Amino acid sequence: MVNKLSETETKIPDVELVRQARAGDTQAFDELMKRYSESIYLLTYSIVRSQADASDLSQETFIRAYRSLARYDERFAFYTWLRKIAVNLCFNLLKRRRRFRFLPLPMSDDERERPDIPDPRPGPPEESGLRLDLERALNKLPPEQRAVFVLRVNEDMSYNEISKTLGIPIGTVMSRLNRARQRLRELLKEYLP
Amino acid sequence: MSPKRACRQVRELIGPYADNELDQDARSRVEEHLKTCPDCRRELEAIQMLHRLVREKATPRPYEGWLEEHRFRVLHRLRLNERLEREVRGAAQIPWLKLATVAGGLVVVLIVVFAGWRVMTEVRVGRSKSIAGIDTSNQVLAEKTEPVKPEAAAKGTRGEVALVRPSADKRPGVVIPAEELLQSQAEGDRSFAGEAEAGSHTRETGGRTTMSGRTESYFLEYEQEPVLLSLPKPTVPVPSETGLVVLRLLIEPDSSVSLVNVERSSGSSLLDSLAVEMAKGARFQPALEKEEPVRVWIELPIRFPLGK
Repeated sequence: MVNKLSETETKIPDVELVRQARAGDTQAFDELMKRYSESIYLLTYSIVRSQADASDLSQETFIRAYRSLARYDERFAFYTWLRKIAVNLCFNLLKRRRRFRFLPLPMSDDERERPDIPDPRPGPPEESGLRLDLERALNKLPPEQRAVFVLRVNEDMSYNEISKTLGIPIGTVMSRLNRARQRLRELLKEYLP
Repeated sequence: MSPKRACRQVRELIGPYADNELDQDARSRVEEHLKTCPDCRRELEAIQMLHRLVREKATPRPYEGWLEEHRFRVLHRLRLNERLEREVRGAAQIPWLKLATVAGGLVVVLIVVFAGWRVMTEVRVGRSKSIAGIDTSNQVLAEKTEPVKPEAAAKGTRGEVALVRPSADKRPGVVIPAEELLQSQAEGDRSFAGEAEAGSHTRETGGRTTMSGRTESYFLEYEQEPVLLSLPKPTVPVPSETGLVVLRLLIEPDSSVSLVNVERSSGSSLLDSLAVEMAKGARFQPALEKEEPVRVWIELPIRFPLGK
């Protein structure tokens, strides 16, 4: 029953919703947001590593998307297009951040945010240690490497897609990915075979 | 090929193999090698494990209710933008509205320029005059204006007066020291609540008698000083205290008093407020410049007890 309901709900294809949204139907656009907001949030979070920034970037992604719906090419998946906008916004933010180098605080934002966010699946203590170590390790990667790594691993994008999305050659994608993996393996060696 | 060399070659392909980026030929070469090499197998496992850890553990889901908040914020911003765009577009689509906006702007500019010109050319500066029957001994500033409603004047005069500049080419005026004037008031002033009449220090001006003084000072450029026509009697019993309240009044061209300030307190707030009450109801023959009424500031001393 639940499945049937969700089937009928998702029946309207993205393209149709995009067409309606283009005609000014914000309800249709809202439906697209319901479908993809969380994915965009997770993507932006995995690149910028801050919940507040990820929320802002997700908003901005949909605002930009709505404004440039006319330029959306229906031959490609809507999410692919959305993802490209989100990644570009992430890089804009990181570039801006780099221009103003901040002194590191005793605790990073994310560490401070952590106690406020209840873990939906509280695991054994080792697991939260793992999460913390993962967070630290990913934070230590240069953003360019992290972005490539995240797009490959979390978004399951091919080298070619990453190359197009970031506007860098495939060779660069591969070398960044390689370096990211090496670094992460060093930092997380206690969890890896 | 030595085993080490084979490993080195395969190692470079393990990443792309894990990423599923190898063609069939390279794939089978890697798989062939992995069967026989535990080190390289461990290498592959490490990469796959790393990917799994990052994919599953490194990205906390957004907090409860995040999606609703996110949708609300985005839609809110979009609606705001749409409304704004509609308004801008709407305004652009009505040509006469555009024209009206431009015309309105032009009118405002003209008014500002004209007002500025008036202030610069017509504001007069002067010093002390006395008013029939009641002595005033200090500065009087006059400004040529159309008759104005008192409220409007009350709002605007301070700013206007601030623009007044003393000018050297004014003819010298006269100021009577306050003490002397007060004395004259005490001697023979009958002007309270009645017609202003000549006191001992008056001069003829346009058929009205007003006081004039002897001290040189800035002079007004209005030709005729304001003349006190009437000053209402206090509505409450006047206390027996003695005291002198010096008020500063703005006399409007329509003969009313639009602004009353206590310039010098008598020391008794009761006497002060009594004096202010009286001055508010006073009527003046407005100051004249070229036979046109002008707005002026005067100082009006009131001594208690009245009529002495």
